[in-house]
Amino acid sequence: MPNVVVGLILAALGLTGLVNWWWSFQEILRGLFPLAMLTVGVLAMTAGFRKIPLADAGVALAELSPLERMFRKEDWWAVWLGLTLVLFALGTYTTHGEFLKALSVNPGGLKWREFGQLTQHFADNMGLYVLQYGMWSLFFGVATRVMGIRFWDFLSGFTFLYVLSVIIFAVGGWAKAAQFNLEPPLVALIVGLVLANTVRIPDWLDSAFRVEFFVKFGIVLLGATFPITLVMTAGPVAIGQATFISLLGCLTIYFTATRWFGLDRRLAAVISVGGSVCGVSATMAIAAAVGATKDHIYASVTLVVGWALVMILFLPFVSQALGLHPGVAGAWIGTSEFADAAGFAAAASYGKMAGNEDAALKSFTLMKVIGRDLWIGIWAMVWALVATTMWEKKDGDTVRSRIDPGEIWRRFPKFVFGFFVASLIVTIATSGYSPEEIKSTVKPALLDPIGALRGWAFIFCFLSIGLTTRFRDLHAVNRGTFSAFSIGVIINVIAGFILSVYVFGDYWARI
Amino acid sequence: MTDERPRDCGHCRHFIDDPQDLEAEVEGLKILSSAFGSVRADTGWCKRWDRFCTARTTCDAYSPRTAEIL
Repeated sequence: MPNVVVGLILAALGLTGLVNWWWSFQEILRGLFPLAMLTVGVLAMTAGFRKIPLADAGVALAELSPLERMFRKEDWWAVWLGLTLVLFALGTYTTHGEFLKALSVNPGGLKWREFGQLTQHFADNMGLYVLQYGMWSLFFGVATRVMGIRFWDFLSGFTFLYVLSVIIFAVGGWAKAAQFNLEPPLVALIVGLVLANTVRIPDWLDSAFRVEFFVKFGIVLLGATFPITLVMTAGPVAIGQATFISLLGCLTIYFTATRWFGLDRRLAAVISVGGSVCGVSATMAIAAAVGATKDHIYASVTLVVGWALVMILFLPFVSQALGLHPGVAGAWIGTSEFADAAGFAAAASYGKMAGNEDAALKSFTLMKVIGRDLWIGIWAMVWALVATTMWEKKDGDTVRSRIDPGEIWRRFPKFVFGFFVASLIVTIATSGYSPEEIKSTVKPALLDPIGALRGWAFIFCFLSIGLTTRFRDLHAVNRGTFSAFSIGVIINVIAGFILSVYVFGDYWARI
Repeated sequence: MTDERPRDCGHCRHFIDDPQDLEAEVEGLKILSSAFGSVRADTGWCKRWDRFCTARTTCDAYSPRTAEIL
C-alpha cells in the first residue's frame, strides 16, 4: 500500500513538472535525439564493420552481389563522399556558411612573414584542425574499411599524411614561398619521394596512401566549382583534341614497339594505352583483353611512373618559361600527362605559379577527364576485339575469354558521374543568382570552401604519389620498350603543344 | 555433394583478384593507379599461367577455391 501512495505522489509530481516545464522537456528530447541517433549509428557501423571481411580474409569477389562489389570500388566511394560534402555545403552555406569556411581551414593562404604568425594561427584554430582531421578520418576511414582495409592501419597512415599535409600547406603559406617555387603540389611530391626513398616506411602506413582514391574524390569536388555549361561547350573540343592525341600516341607506341623493336604485341598493347590514354589504369583496363603477363604490367608501371614524374617537374617550368596562359598550359598538360594524379600535380603547380589555378585545373580536367578517361571502356573493348579476332591463338592456349559490350560499362570510370552530378546540382542551385551575387555571396561562402577542401584532397594525393614511389620497387625495362614508349611520349608532348598553343590556343586561354 | 559454382577464374584458387592482394602481388601498381578502381573491373592475375584475365574466363586448369569462399 505505501508503494502505491508514494507512486501516486511521484507520478502526480512528475506530470505537474512535465506540464510546467514542457519547454525544457522538449529541449532535452530535441538534444537527446541527434545524440541517440549518432550513438546508434556509430554502434551499428561498428557492428556492421566487423562483419565486412578484410581483404586478406581470402574473399572470392565473384561470390559477392553486384551491390557488394560496388562497395568495394573506390570510384563509387569518391562519388558518394564527394556528393555528400557538396550537398552538405549547398544545404548550409546560406545559413551556416561560416561553419563550412571553418571546416575548410588551411594555412596555405596565410602569407605569413614571421614564424610567430604561423604558430598563432594554429593556436587560434587548433579546434578546427581537429574537427577537420576527424571529418577526413571518418570519410576515408569508413570507405577504406568497407573496401577491406583495416581501419586502424588506415588511421595511423592517414594521421601521418594529414600532419605532413598541414606542414606542406604551412610552407606554401609563407609570404616568400612563390619566390622559391615552393608550390604545395611540388613540395608534397618531392617530400614524399625523398621520404619513400630514404626512410623505411612501415608497410602498415601504406594503407592510407591511396593516390587514386584521393584524386577521384578531389575530381568530384572539382565538379562542384565547374559550371555544367562549360562542360557542354568546351567538352567537344576537348574530346576532339584528346582523341586525336590518344590515337596518335597509341598507334605510334604500338607500331614502333612491334615493327621497329620487335616487341611482344601484348606488351606493345599495354604500354601503348599506358602512354596515350590513362597510364597504369588504362594498362590494367586492357590487361585481360590482351592476356598480358605480370612483366608486361611491370614495364608499364616503370615507364608511366618514370615519365609522369619527369613531366610533373618539366611541364610547369617549361610553361612558365614560355609564359603560357594557365588555361593553355592546362590543356597541354592534359594531352601530355597520362596519369590523372600526376597531371593534376603538374596543372595545379603551374596554376599556382601563374596565379590562376582555376583555369589550369579546368582545362586540364576537360582534356584529361572528359577527353580521355571517359573512353577507357571503349579502348578495352577495341583491344579485346583486336586480340580475339586478329591475333592467332598460341598452341596449347587453353584459356578461353569472353568479350561483350558490357565491358564498356564495367570499365567506365564511375567517379566521372560524381563530377557531372556535382557540376549539375551546383549550377542549378546557383542559377538564380546574379553575377554580382555569385561574386559576393556564392563564391566566398560556397565555392571557395569547396575549393579549399578539394585542395586538401589533392595534397593527400600528391603526397601519396611521392610516398608510394619507391624506386627500388620498380622493375627494369629493356631498351626497346623504353625507346618505343619514349617516342610516343615525345610525339604526344609535341602534338599536344601544337594543338593547345597554336590551333586551340585562343580557345583554352578563354577558359 | 557437387560444387555448383561456375568453373571460371573468379572461383578458381589460381586467380588473384582481391584488390589488396593484387596490389601486393604487382609492385608499383598503386603508385599512379589502384586495384580498387572501376577500370580494373573484374580483372585479376592467374598465378597458374602468369596472365591477366577477367573473372569470367575459363580454362582446363580450373581448381576450386576451398576454405576461402565466404
